[in-house]
Amino acid sequence: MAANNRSDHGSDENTRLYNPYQNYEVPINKSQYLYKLPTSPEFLFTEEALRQRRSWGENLTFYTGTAYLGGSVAGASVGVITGVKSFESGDTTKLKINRILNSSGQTGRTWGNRIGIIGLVYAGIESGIVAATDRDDVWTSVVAGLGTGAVCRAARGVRSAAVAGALGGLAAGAVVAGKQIVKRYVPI
Amino acid sequence: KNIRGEAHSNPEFERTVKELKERTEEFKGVTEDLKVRTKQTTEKLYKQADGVWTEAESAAKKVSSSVKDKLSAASEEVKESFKLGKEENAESASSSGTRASQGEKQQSGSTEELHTFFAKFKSSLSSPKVSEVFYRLKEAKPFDIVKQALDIVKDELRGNPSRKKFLEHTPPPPFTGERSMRTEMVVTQTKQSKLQQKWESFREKMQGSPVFKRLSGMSEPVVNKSQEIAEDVREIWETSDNPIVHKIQDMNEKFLKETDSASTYKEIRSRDPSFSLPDFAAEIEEVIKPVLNAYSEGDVETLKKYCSKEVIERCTAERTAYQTHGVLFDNKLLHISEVSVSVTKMMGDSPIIIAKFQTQEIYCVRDENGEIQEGGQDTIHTVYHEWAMQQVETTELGEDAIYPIWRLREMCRNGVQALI
Amino acid sequence: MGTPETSREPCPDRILDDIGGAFGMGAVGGSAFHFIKGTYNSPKGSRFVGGTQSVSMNAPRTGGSFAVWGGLFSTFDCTMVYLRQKEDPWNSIIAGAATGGFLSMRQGAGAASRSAIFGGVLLALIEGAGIMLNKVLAQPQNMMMEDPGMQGMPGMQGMQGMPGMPGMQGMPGMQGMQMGQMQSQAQI
Repeated sequence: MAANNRSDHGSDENTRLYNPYQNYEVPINKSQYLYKLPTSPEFLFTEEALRQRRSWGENLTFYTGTAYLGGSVAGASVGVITGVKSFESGDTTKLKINRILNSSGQTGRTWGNRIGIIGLVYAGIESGIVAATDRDDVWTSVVAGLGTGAVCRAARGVRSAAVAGALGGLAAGAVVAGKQIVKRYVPI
Repeated sequence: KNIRGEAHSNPEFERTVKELKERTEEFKGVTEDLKVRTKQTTEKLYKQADGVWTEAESAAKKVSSSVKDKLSAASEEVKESFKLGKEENAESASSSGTRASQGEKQQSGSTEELHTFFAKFKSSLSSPKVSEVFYRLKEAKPFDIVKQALDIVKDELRGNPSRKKFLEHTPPPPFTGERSMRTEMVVTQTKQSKLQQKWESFREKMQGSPVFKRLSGMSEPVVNKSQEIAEDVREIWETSDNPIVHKIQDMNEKFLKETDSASTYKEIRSRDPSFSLPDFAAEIEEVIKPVLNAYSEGDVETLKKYCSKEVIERCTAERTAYQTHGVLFDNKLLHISEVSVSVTKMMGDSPIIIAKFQTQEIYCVRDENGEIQEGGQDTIHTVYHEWAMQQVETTELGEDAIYPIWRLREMCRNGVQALI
Repeated sequence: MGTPETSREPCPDRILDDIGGAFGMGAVGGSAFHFIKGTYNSPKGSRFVGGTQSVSMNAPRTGGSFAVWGGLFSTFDCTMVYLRQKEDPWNSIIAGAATGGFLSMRQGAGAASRSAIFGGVLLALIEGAGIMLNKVLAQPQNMMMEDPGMQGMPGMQGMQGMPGMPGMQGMPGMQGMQMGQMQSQAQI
């Protein structure tokens, strides 16, 4: 009734047999009530099981978000320092606070914007490459870095774009390589 | 000469050998895995030492000075490759350095190939400098070329600080050839002429060849025919009475008509081809603070640099008026933000750019005795400003100016908001 | 059938993704707008150049202001979730009001409260629209008919066989159990 027409999930190594009536001291034909249970968690959606990385939308928001947040935090801290440096004698506390707020807000915003744009372009190019070539390794990151550098400096002329692209590619490659090294040698 | 060359090269060579020995000793006494690697590296090093030796021999026949140069370069490269052997994963910061060592590995003995390799690398990096590379190839100095590549990278990292000023003018530099709009690269005359000579000779050769002649002869009627057809079609399009065509033409007019600001830009460009809006905005941002300070203090000398005479007149008039009333403004500029170009338009026949920005100022009004009447020491106001900048003709500036310059023609406070 | 769109990310990560999403939206939308405006406002020869210039001048700024909004909003949203331990429309309404008030805090209490009210109302409208949409989209179940010629009801045959045959198969030893006895056992 239950055992014969059941669709099997997974191969036999991944399943175990289980009988819910095993603890009952009841004379039952036990073979009827054997259920196959998976030993490892079973995905509901095969797409989710196959997917090893983020979708492009998540990638984009994640990279852009971290870039903007990091940039604006760094910029704001730099701005606080410059604001403190720009104090003049005879400033009231209100003026001091105003100076700090102004300079930190200004630099934070500009840094955040710049780095956020870089993150956005990088994420877009990387997702595009992954979608096109269906590969995800060091070289995609390097190429994405290259493209990012070139795009961001395109306005300044060909030479600038080329140099910036080279630097961007190097930086991306270095980051990925560093990540790998950290993963391999640093036990976390 | 030979002996001399040997004498020069010997100490160098001995040093490299010494280094090699030290390295190998260092590597001993470590695990098996490392030993394999050391073997590989030592093999490499031996090969490279051979390379250096052959190079030294061949170089010894040449002039001693060039030998010195080359050896120093070679030893540099050897050092580089040492680094590579030691840590394979590390990336050296200068791309040129790694390239150089790779070049060394691929080297098959003759230095000429190396130079061409470098030349290729160079040309891929910087196309405007190709002519220079050709020029330099005759006196082969690979090390210098590497240095130049590094310099280029450094330059780019620093950005180009030599931006043209739009608001001030300095006596113009001596004119040096063409100036391109996009990259602001200055190419000196000698190289330009070199390129041109190359072009000339190439062109003559090409035109002389019978293949080219035949080709041009064949292509001539085709080109003519297609041009005629295009002409006909255009004729039909423009003279047709079809209402739909008219409608489309009207839409075309409406969409493609230049707006006010577009024609203004055109005018600005025709007067000053090197004008770029972002740079202009950045420069305004720099100028705001000195101008506003000078205006509130009545510093006519500073104002003269940036402003038209109407503004200066008004400034002096205001100051006298306030003084007669016994009103003193003790304002201080705190912060400038949100600089943006809002409108560009023609006023008469001179272009005008209206820029908007916000400032934060301390608002404090005193009377003759220094008593505070309005505001206070720490009353902060956000003030919304608008500035109108006008492009002044070159003829008005005098003889020494080439490009027109922007002057502040009108300033206006749009609103004030108190801040906590 | 793809993976379903699940509600939202858990809270600390949500802030990052919101910032990224807002920045991306602002930057992309802003660059489209400014590109069109720039091309429209530049002379015929250099339309493309004019467009790119105005994009590079203005798009990052637009993205930045969007990102500030989004980041503040989702930060407030998360704090509200943490404080109230509930997930409902009120959270986002309160967060919207708080964001509006926070951003115009320096203009004084009047301006701050005005923009807070504006933000709250805006978010309330959005949330309300979302709820309405859900209600409208929720399709009612297909009704079953009182129809003798029914087909396609799973398990019908088994059910019809049930009442007449108490011990069909399976548990011969357990037929005698009764609910009344179970209750008495529970009282014992």
